[in-house]
Order: sequence, then structure tokens, then C-alpha cells
Amino acid sequence: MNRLQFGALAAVLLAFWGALEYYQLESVWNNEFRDPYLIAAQHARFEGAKQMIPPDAIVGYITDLEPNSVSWSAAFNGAQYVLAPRLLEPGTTRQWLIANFARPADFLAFAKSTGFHIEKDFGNGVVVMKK
Amino acid sequence: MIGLIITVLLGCALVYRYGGLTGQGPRWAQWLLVAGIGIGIGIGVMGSLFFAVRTVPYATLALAALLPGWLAWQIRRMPKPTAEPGRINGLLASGLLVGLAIAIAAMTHAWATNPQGNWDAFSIWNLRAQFFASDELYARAWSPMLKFTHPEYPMLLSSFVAWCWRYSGLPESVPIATSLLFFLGLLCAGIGGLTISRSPALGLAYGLVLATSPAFLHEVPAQYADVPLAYFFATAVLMAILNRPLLAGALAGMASFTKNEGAVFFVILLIIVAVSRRGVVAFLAGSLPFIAMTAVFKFVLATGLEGLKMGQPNTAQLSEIIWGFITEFLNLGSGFYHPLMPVIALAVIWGIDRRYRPESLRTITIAIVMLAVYFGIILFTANDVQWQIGTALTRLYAQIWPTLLLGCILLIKSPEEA
Repeated sequence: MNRLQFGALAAVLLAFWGALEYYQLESVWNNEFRDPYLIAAQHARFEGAKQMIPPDAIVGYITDLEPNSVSWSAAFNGAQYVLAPRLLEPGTTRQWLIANFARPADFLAFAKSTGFHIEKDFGNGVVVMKK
Repeated sequence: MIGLIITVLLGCALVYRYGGLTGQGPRWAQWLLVAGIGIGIGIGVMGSLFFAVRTVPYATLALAALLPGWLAWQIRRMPKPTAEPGRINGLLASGLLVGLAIAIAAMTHAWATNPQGNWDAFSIWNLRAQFFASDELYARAWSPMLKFTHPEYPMLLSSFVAWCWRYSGLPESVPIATSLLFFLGLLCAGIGGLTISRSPALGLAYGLVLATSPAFLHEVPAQYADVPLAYFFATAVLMAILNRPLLAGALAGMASFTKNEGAVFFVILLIIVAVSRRGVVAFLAGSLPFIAMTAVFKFVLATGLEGLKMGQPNTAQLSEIIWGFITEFLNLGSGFYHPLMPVIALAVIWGIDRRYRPESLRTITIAIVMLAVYFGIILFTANDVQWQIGTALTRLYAQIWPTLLLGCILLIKSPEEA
């Protein structure tokens, strides 16, 4: 075996080790983090809201998740991703309002107290309201 | 997917006809180089063109329609390029193919479980692509209301994905395939370019190490802009090495329109090209359309948007930052493996070629200066340092790894010459 072949063999064996390490890394990572922010589920959750709210709307956004938490950001970004090109804005100042809740809540009371009416409760914590 | 196919064909035809990359080295290396550079040029041109069409209506639409016919006519008239004989090392080539097959198999796992990519993919890059793909609301891609989406980031990647989505609905396969194309393009360009500039064994060795670099590969299915940026960094440097300053400039310009770090890279490469007096005018000419587009985006469209949050130097956390840089360099590997291992083995067995030391040092210097800039940004960041290190540093290393690897392989003695 000449120097070229010897070097090539050493590099190939080491690289093969690297390839297996990568395979292992990707398998473990994807088993542990299987759609960790539930993005796939958001398409189904917001499909009805997407049909109802016009694409050019700027939509108010409320949630029961703790502000500035990872779950708040994940829920907001997930909703924004599936509802684009509609823009979401935290708060209740816009004509359209979307509620993205993790737990059951009295949406009717909320709507009455803030001057909104419920357009439709899509279930799963998703409610569309309008002023 | 039709957008992706048109892009690759258009980019390869453009580079084949005007890139000046044929006529040197073995034919297979020429094809790999043309395909590798063609992928990036195609994505860069179509992404930029779609951006220009959207923001300057109809100005470039005619060009996009006429370009394929013009290219086909030009290629027909072109003399057939010559080729030198070049033997492929069977062992390295087989190892590369097996390594690549394992890498792709691992990625399919990621594509199946997380087709939407990681956090920044759905909250930044692909979200902005969705806005940009919409009819009248494309300017929402840089709306100041996108507080969690970095609306100030350059648009090349999102614009390209938006272009493909515009004509095919919004399939998740587009950003997945775009990321994969950048990786495969980098692999082809690296193998072809090093084969032509040095030797087939070194070209294949580059491909072998890159196709089995765990942390870098992990960024491919993430669908972030870091793999495209890594592509533009390494291919721009490669084109400068091959004395193709126009292409080097175009690719460096595309880097600046991909992510903010790309602008820093552009300046560094421009300085190196200017100092080494290797076609600075051609370099600037190649970069001009993309730099102009970046400037229009940054200073006209997205002006006033908050970018980097900088503050007082985090000197109290200096040791933490240094340790973070050391740890993340080690984390380029996985388990006990580090992708520098096969490079060191080759350097020991095949030896070092001192003739290529200046070229290698220039290339490694670019990567190190980029790292120094990242170090400065983390040192002065107003964000939480631990968070910044934990979320960004692996990706910053992934951006420079293919360039660093290029510099290391350049230093190794070509075994065919021994």
C-alpha cells in the first residue's frame, strides 16, 4: 500500500466514524425534539380562522400563556406562521382578535367586557372575535 | 418544485457559459465545479431577481423571461471545453459516497419528524418567505410589527423560497430542498475546485470530510440561513483562489444579501482581494448588483428597524465567552469525533506543501477574522451572553467551517505529486 492509499484509508475510516456519529446525533435529536413547538398541529387548529379573517388584516392576539416564556413565543410564532400574510399583534386594539388559549376560558365574558363579539369558537382554544 | 429545477438549470447554464470554469482539470471536476457554483448562482440570481421584481415592478421581469433562451443560444455557439485526464481515487470516492449516503439518510429522519425546520426556520426565514410570496402584502416581510422575526435581516433566502412557493402553493419541501441544494452545491464546488486547483485526491478529501462533519450537517435540515451563508463564504473564497474575481464578487455579494454576517465577510474578502491585487475591479463588478440590493433593503425598505442590540462590554463574562468559543469548536464534532481528525491524519501521512502556505493562511485568516468579529459581537451584546452563546455559536461555527476546512486542505501535500 502506497502513501496515497494509506492516507486515503485513514481519512475514510475516520470520516466513516464521523458519519456514524452524525447519524446517531440526528436520530437522538429528532426523537427527543419531535416537532417540539407543535407547528404541524397549528395548521389544523387555525385553518378555520384562516378562512374567516381576510389576508390583509392586522389581528389582535391574546393568550393565557405566561408572557416572555418560551411557550408564549412558540405559540405566537406558530400562530403567526400558519396565519401569514395576516399580521398578529399582541393586544386588543385591532378590529379582529384571535384567542390562542391552552386552557378552557370564558371567552363570552371576555368578549363582552372588551367590546368584541365572538365570530366563531373553533375549539382547541382558538376563538375569533371582532369589534 | 419547478422553481427549484429552473433555478438549478439556469444557474448551471449561466456559470457554464460565462463562469470561465471549464477547460482546466479533469472533465468530472469541471462538471462538479460548474454544478456546485451554478446552484448558488442560480438561487442567488433568482432570489434577487424576485426581490427586484417585487420591489421594482416589471423592471426585471423581461430579463427573467429572456434569459433561458439567450443562454441556450450562447451555449450552442460556445466551443467545447477541453479536459485533462484525471484519475479518481476509488477509495476516497467510495468513502465519500458512503459518507454522503449516511448523511442524507440521517437528514431524512429530520425532514420526516421536523419538516418545518427548527425555531428560526418557522419564526424568521420561512415566515418572511410566506409574506413575500403573497400578492399585495409582500412588504410585510420587513414590517416593524414582526418584533420576534428580525424583519431587518436581508432577504435573499426568503425571497428565493417565496419565488418557488409563489407557483407551487406552500409545500414544506421547498425550504428543505433549498437547504439541501446549498449543501450539495458546496460539496460539488469544493471537490471540483480543489481538484482543479490542486489534485483529485485533495478535492475528494475535502468532500469526504465535509460530508461527514456532524455539527455542520446538523444545520442542513434546520432550514436556517447559516448553510447558505457557509456556501457563499467558501465558494467566494474558492473563486478567488481560482482567480475568478467576478464570480468571487458575485458570491460574496450574495452572502451580504443573505445574512448580516455576509456584509462583514464581503468587506474582509474585498480587502484580501485588493491587497493581493487579484482583480479587485472585477470583484466589485460581480458584487455590485447584490450589494446594491442589500443597501436598498437596509437603508430604504427596512430603514429604522432595530438590528443588533449592543451595549457595554460584558467583561465580567469574558472567560465564559472564551470558554464558549472553545467548547463550540470542539462541538463541531460529535461524541469523541472531530472533523479535524481526518485532516490531521492526511497532513501527517501525505505531508504539508509549503508552496501553498500563503493561500492556505489567507483562507484560514478569513475564517479567523470572522470568528473574531463574532467574538466582538458577543462581547458587546446587550442580550444575555449565555443565551447568545447557547443559541448562536454552533451556527456561527457552521458558517465558517467549510472555509476553514478549505484552508486546511490547501496546506496538505497533493499525494499524486509525491
